[in-house]
Parts: sequence; structure tokens; C-alpha cells
Amino acid sequence: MATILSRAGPFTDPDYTPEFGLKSLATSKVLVLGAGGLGCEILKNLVLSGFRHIECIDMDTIETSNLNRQFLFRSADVGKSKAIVACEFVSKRLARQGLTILPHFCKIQDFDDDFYSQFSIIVCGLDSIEARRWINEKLVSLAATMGHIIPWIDGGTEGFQGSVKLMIPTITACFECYMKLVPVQTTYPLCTLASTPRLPEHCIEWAHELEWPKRYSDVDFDPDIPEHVDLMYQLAKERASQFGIEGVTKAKTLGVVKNIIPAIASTNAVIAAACCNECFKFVTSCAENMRDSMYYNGETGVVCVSDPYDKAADCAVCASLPQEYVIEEGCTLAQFVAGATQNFGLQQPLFFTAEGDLYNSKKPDAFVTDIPVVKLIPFADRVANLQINIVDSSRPSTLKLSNGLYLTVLREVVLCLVDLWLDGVRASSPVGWADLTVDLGELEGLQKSQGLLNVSTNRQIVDGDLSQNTLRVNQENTSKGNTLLLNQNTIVSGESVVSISKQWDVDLAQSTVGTCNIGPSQQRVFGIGGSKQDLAVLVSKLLGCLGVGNDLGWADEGESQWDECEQHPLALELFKGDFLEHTVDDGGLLEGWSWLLNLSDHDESKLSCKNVSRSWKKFQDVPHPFILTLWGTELARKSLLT
Amino acid sequence: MNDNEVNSKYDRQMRLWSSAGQKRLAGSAVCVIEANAVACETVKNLVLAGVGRIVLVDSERVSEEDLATNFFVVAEDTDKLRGECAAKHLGELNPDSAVLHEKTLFESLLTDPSFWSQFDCVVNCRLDPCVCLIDLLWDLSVPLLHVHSIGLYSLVRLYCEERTMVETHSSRADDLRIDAVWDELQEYVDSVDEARLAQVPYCVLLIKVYQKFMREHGRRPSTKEARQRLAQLGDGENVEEAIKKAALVTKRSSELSEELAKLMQEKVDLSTASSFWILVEALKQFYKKHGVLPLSGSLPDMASNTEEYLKLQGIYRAKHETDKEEFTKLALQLSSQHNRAADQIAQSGIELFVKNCSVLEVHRGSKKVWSSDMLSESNPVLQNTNIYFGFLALNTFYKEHKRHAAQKDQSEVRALAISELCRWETLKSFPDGLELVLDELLRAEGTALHNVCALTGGIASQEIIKILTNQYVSFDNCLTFDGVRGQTGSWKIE
Repeated sequence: MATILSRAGPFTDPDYTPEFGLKSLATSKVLVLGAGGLGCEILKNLVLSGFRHIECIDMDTIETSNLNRQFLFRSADVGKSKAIVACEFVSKRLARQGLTILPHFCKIQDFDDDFYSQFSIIVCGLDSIEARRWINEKLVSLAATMGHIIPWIDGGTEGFQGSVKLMIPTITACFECYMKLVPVQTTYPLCTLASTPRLPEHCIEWAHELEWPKRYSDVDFDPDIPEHVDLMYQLAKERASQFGIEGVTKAKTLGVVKNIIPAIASTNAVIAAACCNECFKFVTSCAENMRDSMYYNGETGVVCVSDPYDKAADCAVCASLPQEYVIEEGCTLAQFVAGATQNFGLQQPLFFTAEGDLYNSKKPDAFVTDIPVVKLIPFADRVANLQINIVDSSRPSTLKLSNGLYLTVLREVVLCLVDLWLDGVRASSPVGWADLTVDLGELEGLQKSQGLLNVSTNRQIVDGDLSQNTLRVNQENTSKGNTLLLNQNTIVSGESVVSISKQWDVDLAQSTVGTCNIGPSQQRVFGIGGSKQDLAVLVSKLLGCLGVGNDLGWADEGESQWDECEQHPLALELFKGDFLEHTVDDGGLLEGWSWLLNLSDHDESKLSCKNVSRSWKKFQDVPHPFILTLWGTELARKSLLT
Repeated sequence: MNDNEVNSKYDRQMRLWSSAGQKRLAGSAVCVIEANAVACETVKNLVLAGVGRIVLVDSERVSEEDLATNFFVVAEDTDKLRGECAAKHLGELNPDSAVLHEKTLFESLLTDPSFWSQFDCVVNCRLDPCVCLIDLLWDLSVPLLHVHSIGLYSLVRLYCEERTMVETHSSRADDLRIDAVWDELQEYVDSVDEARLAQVPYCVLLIKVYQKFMREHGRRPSTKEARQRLAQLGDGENVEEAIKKAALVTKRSSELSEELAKLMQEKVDLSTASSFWILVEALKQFYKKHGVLPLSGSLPDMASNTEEYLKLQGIYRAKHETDKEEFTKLALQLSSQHNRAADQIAQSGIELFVKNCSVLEVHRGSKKVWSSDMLSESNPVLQNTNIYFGFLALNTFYKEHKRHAAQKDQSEVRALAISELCRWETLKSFPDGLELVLDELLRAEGTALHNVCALTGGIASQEIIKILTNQYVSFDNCLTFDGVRGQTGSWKIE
């Protein structure tokens, strides 16, 4: 440590001096949240990294099942405070001049702003999502209201997998921005539990949810009381034998009622060390930091990648608040564009509404600009919450108009694709435009897909249960119905992190673009183009994952099929069974999906997934227009896939 | 996991590798060379997991540097035997695990194969990959891990001739056989009439749709066509599930994964190969005869009433049992044909094999420290191979000068690197980024950072546990960690 800090390296900040590094290390005050599996490692790592002022909060006491990984505890410590035992152990083992480690045996919620404000950085090894959301809000509000920015690093593990997030409140994505990666917890439908159980888990949940409260209405079930667990196990076993279901065991019972997440020492070691390594680099500036978020998976081979992660434009905690923007009566389109451009610091904006483009600054001649804006937005005077979307390279934000309109500046990812669309790589069309937006809306997993959907000109929402992320969009204006079915999925931005909560089911069929203008022989090609414009986006996202997937060695099946149907070219179908599920987070059940696609062509010749992902990796560094151009032709598609 | 093990100290890990895996850990012996920080961090995780016996080969004395980076030596240990002190502190972590110190010089042990053959895995934590050790352990068929860390970088390399993995814990094992229905299943599917359609698992609906379409069109339906037909079956929960899963109708039960097809083509001498290969041969014969693999028998949960689900589950399980029986006969026959003792093939082994037969994995290792295609431009993890190459260059320097290379040695180390590269005749130009990596390594002057050691020890111990339990899929076979970017890159040295 001393050697590294005593000189600069090739990845060191040019302003770095050894004095700065050593002094920061000696004076920084670090708060460690949690003294469990990660916490024990973190405390050890921080002291051996040279930190001198450390405090640690943990409300839990030591249990026997902690001992396989929480190495600062011994059997004799069972029942004592984790924070106190851990801090005492480390202080004693690593006695160093000037070292103070202060334990707090209580909840993180017991402390106020003044307490948290004293720390330079926080390293978090908590196992509860709720606690992390709490500290996240606290830190964002400290930054937003008092300008006191405390960076924090969060680690989480589950079994062989884990993740690390480096968060600088209000500047980079906050914990809440990542929340869309957290899948809904598996629950069983009540009717299954009550009348048609099939799995041992159904019987256990029945006992837990339904039978216990009925039979022992005066006793609250406590999974930490062995007698309770035994009783529950008996209930579940009876239920199972009644239905002839095998496999109810005590281990399974406890696993279900306590929601036990497997935990091993090696994963904790990896994740805690990655957290502390980032903390050390951050505080000393001895080397650059990783990108926003690191994902680790040791289940099949070893995978550890770090990726940038964007702030969620609609983040409930850190997104900028809606701003008032007044459109005065009679304000013309030209005035509106000029005003909004100046007000929001836009560069080359595109404004569009449910009816299509409102104004495109790259094709100014295509728009009549001396008409009052409100006339261009149907029902603007009567309906609240219609949206004008702005695509621009400025940072994401949501702006509120005085007449109830929202301006949504889409995220940058969308932007590159759209920009290039406008650049005329392909003939522009409002319909295609809309498709693109809708797809991206879904892909981005934005909760405001509703808003994005409004963009679609010829589409109608058939079924839009947004809470479930279930969406059916029907293309009405084409002779062949075009159905886009996105089922219960949430795909999150960040080129490579994709999470689908339950099922990814996409069926993209008939082309929507250009079919009326060209002859049948060309129709197919163009049709492909049109349809593929959807596909391009989808595939780009999928391949984004593939890029990672390949790195990760998750060379698993995940199947996708290009079907040749009657009139139209391509249908991309993916189904769940073959996707690999990756659960990322501790207690919080962060789940990611990854897959590799087997893209088979019409002739069913198999194309290697590995090649696909490799191509994508190469393309990643190329400006986006190039990619879409590629997808614009059949030939290019092949070159991408082979 | 039996009832006594519930909530025991191994509860949280046995949910991953089961009692059987835990038993194997308890019965294992691991040897670790050098008691530096990365070694102790590796051993810590092995001791916590309950590995039975660990021997530290080390003859150093505790130094300032050790105190600064290693949690398992304390100030009072200064100048004492490092291995002994570390073994004592590591042993305290878990009474089930014995951590012993071997003070005989590593170099002398190299002449004694009997010392090494007692171990299930050996971990070399020196900078030097030590070619004689690689050769020695390769011949003894003891897996060897080379693990080392300098500054913000580290490397892990596995030397192992062959790893055959059955319990891969792959999520791909479900196999519904929509297009390859057997008599009992057919009978059941036919017995389901209109009235019962709403109660049966989606798999029955898929089979019905598939078969009807086949009869009418003489080809399998596309997903879309299957969906259209399914949609006419009403709007029950099972129909909804079936529509989601409709793509299963396009899955060919006869199709083998690429890896498995390759595996089946390997030529192995069955009189000497491990029993795994007898089972692979039996699998080949089974597949040749039936056109499909033996059925794994596991059925995912599907919306339906209890009775129908259990009936279907029973049919899949029965088929699994029949297939397994036939497979067992084949395996035993092969075993005796090749004059092997019948007890080499345990029934429990066969059960596991059949359950996982579609997701088997085999890794074939290499003794090479370096392969010529690693620095080619198509290498997707160039930054990481640069790190690996950096370690090799530093080792060469160390061997020549008996000290670690420092920043002042920059030009010499670069020259060393170039000459090494030329030896492999693959050098077109100095690989992108290698100079920076060398500079970052020189900056540390051979010293380690605790965090990087802890992370690397975490990865190494995890891979050792995979080897000892013979569960999950190992990395194959080289990786480096880049502590600047926070990434590992892994590749195979052929």
C-alpha cells in the first residue's frame, strides 16, 4: 500500500502526489454499514488498506449459521452484537498507531444528518434492500439540500453472485436508479396454495400463509424459534402427504419461511474486496475508479465486469424535479422551439407528440413554424398529461409545462439511435419513428412507457397493464396486423445490463415501413428493413447483453428464431425456458438475465452465438450510425450474424 | 441436507452444494505454497467452508510487508516462521479444519512426489509458475492453481489435464419432449378430453397442438402457428402459460448441444479412462438407439390442478427410471467389456449422470504457461492477457536479478517483454496497452495490496471448492483481475 501510494502510475490522476494519497488515507473517516458476511471482510480490508478512522453500524446478533463466512466470530460469540465483536476483533488483531474503530449496535435509522455528515465515504454491506434505500435517500438528500456529497459503495451477494455499486449522490446513478433491476419476489398465487398445490414450496407457503394464522391465531410465527419451525414443518408435511407431493424437508421449510439466501465466504471476499478497492482508489486517487456498477458471477466459470450505469430519468429519489415551463397563448412553434432550446440548453432537439413530429431541428424546412403550438397538439387545451417528448443530447430530465404537458427528454441511449435515424440513414417515417420509440421505451424499462406509447401514431394500446409491464400494441393502419408483445419484462438501460423479471416474449412480425411505396419484389427487402428497424433495436439490446454474455462464458441456450412467415420476413421469438437466471443481490434479489441467442436463419443453419457477441463487441466502439446502417441491409445482417 | 444440518454453520453453503459436496470438502486435503497475503486469503475461505486439511508450505519469516498486508500474522509474530503463525491463526477460524505448516523447503519437496500425491489440489502462490511443479503435478493428476497478485493486478491459472463435470447445476436440464412422446405419455395426452383441458399442465396442450399440426401439415408448427392454435383453447391460466412457452414446439428433442455432440465424438481408451467416459460411451449408445438422451425426469411447475400435475410428473419420472435402468445396463455391460471392476460405477453416480446428461462439461487443460495466439488482435480480453504477460515478464526479471523489478527498471522490463514475445514469434507489434500494464506493475515493485489479494483469494478458493466438490463449472483455464477497471478477463490457454 505504502509503495503504491509513494509514486504515481499510468492510471493515476495527473495531479496526484504521494502526500495527498497518504494524508487522505490517514484523515478520512469511513462508515461501514453492516458487520455480517460483507461487513467482517470490509472492516479487515479497510484497516489493511491504511484507513485509520472507522465506525460500523449493525443491529444484528451473531447466529450459528453465520460462522461459515463471518470469520471474525467464533461459536462462543453466538448471541452477541456483530458490530461490537467484529470491531473489537479487528482492533485487537490489527493494532496500529492511531487506529480507532467504533461499533454501533443499533439501526442505521437511529442516526441523524449530523452523524452521517461527519463521514468522507461509506462502504455498505447490508443485506436488506429497505435499509439501503433508506441510506440512499438520506445521502441524496444530504447532497441535494446541504451540498454535502458523501460517496458510497454498496456491495451485495447471493450464492455465487454479487454486485458492487459506486454511487456519488446527485452525480451518478443512485441506489433507487438501480431498483428496476430488482425483480418482483417469487410469490405463489393464493389459489394454488389453497386448492392446487404441486410443489413442496406450495405446501410450505400454505402452512406459513394460511394454516398457521388459522390454527395458532394467538402465536406469531418466529422462524428463529426451533419449535415454531418444527410445527410449521409438520403442517407442511401433512399437507404434502394429503396431496401426494414429495420433497417437503426441514431445510426446505426453513428456506421458504425465512427466505434464506445461500451465502458463501468466497463471494463475500470478492465483493467486499472490490468495494474496499474502489474505496481505497477513491479516497487516495492512486488510480482511476471502476465504472458505476460491477457484476460478479462465479457460478459458471468466473465473470466480473464493470459497466457504466445511467441515472434513471424518472428516479423517485434523485431525478431532477419537474420544472415549470410556460407556453403562452399564441406562442408559435418557432418561439416555443427557440424558448425551450434556450431554456433547457438543448442542442439539436427533436420535439414530437402522439401525433408525430412536432419539430425536427435537423429538417427545419419540413415544418410550418408560425402556427401556435397548442394548435399542433390535439386536445392540449383540454387533456392533462399529454406529453411532448424531446430528444436531445442534453442530460435527461423531466420538465413540466404550465398547461399540464410534460416534456420528456429521453435518455442518451435512445438518442444516438434516433439521431442517426434523423440523419437519414433510413427514410424517416412517423410510424417507424414511433415503433422505435415504443421499443426503446420498453427496452429502457421506463415506467413511463405510457407516455412513450402516446408517441405511436398508428398504434393503439390494446392492453396496457403497466404495473405488470405487460403491453400489447397493435398496429392498426397496416393490412397485416402487427403485434408487438412485450410481456412482464423490464429491461434496464446500461448497454449491457438487462434484467427481465419473468418472461421475455417478443413477437415482431410484419414490417410497417414503406410497404405502400414500393413493389412487391422490393417489399420484402424494405419490409425487412422496416421490421428490422424494430429488430435492430431489440437485437442491439440483446446483443448488448450478448457482449457481456460472451465475456461471462454464459454460453447457454436461449433460443431465438427467425421464422419465415407468409408475407413478411422475420419474427424474433425468445422464450424463457432457455434463459439463464442470474440473481445478483443479497436479500434484495437483484436479478439479471443473461442469455446467448442461437440465431438460426431461414435455412436453419445455426449461427454461433459467440460470433454474434464478438461482432457486437467490435461494434460497440463504433459510432452508432454505423451499426444501424449495417442493420439496414440483409447482407449486413448476415455479416453481423456470421 | 438432513434435519440436524439445518441452521448449522454450513447451512447457507449446503444449500448450494448439498451434504454430498460438504462431505467431500471435509474429506479433502489442499496444499498451499507460500503463506503470503493472497495465500492466506485463499485458505481463509477454504477453512471457513470446512475443507478438512490444509498444509502451508512456507519457509519465510514474518516481515514488515507481511504485517502490512496479511490479516493472519500479528505484530508479535515478527521474525517468527510465517507459515507456522499463519497456520495457527487460520486454524482458529474453524475447528473442523486442520491447518498445518510444512517447513521443508519447497525446492526439496519437488523431488518427493509422494508428498504431493496426498493432496486433492495444490495452490502455488509464488510469482514463479514453476514449470517443474506443473510437470510433477500434471503427471500425478493433481489439479494445480497458480495464484499471485502484485499491486492492482492478479492472476489465477488452472493446470489440470482433464476436468469432467457432471453436477454442473445448469438451469437447462428441463426437457419436456413435446416432439418425442412415448407410449405412456401419449396415452395420458389422449385421455385428456375437452372437459379436462382447463386443468392440465401446459405441456399437454403443447403436445396436442404439435401433434394435430403435424398430422395436418406434415411439418412442425412455428411458434406463431402454435400460438394461434393455443389461443383457441380458451383463456385458462394453463393456456396463457402455453402461449408463453409456445416456442417449445420448435425445440428438437433429438438435438444435442454443441458441447455434448463434441464430447460424444471424443476417442477415449475405455479400459483406462475414468468411469465418466464409460458413462459417456453408454450415453452415446443410448442416443444412437433412441435418437434422444435418457430423460432427466424433472418437470417445472406448471399451472394445473394437483392431480393432473402429479400424474404427469409420475409419467416423466417413470420414464426417467426406465431410461436410467436401460442406461445402467449399457454402462455395466461396457464396464465388463473393458475388464473394469463393476463397483467403479456407483448407482448414485449413474443417477446424477442421467439427470445431468444434457449439460455435462469437460475441460481439457494445458501445461503451457503461454500460448502464441493470446496476443493476437482478435483476443477479446487483451487487457487481461497483457496483465498475465506482465507477470511472466516480472518473473523473468526476478529470476535474473533476484529482486523485484521497480520503476527504474522500466526499459529493461520492456526489453525483456519484447524478447519474450519474439520467442513466440507472434509479435507483429507491441500489444496495445502492454506498456501501461508493465508500468503499473513496476509501480508496485512486487508488493501486494490487501484488497486485491482478498478478491483474488476469493476467486481462487471458489474455484478450489468447485474442484473439490466436483460441482459447478470451473473457469477454463486462465484469468487475471484488473483492479484499475474492476474487471476480470478469462481465456483458455490451449
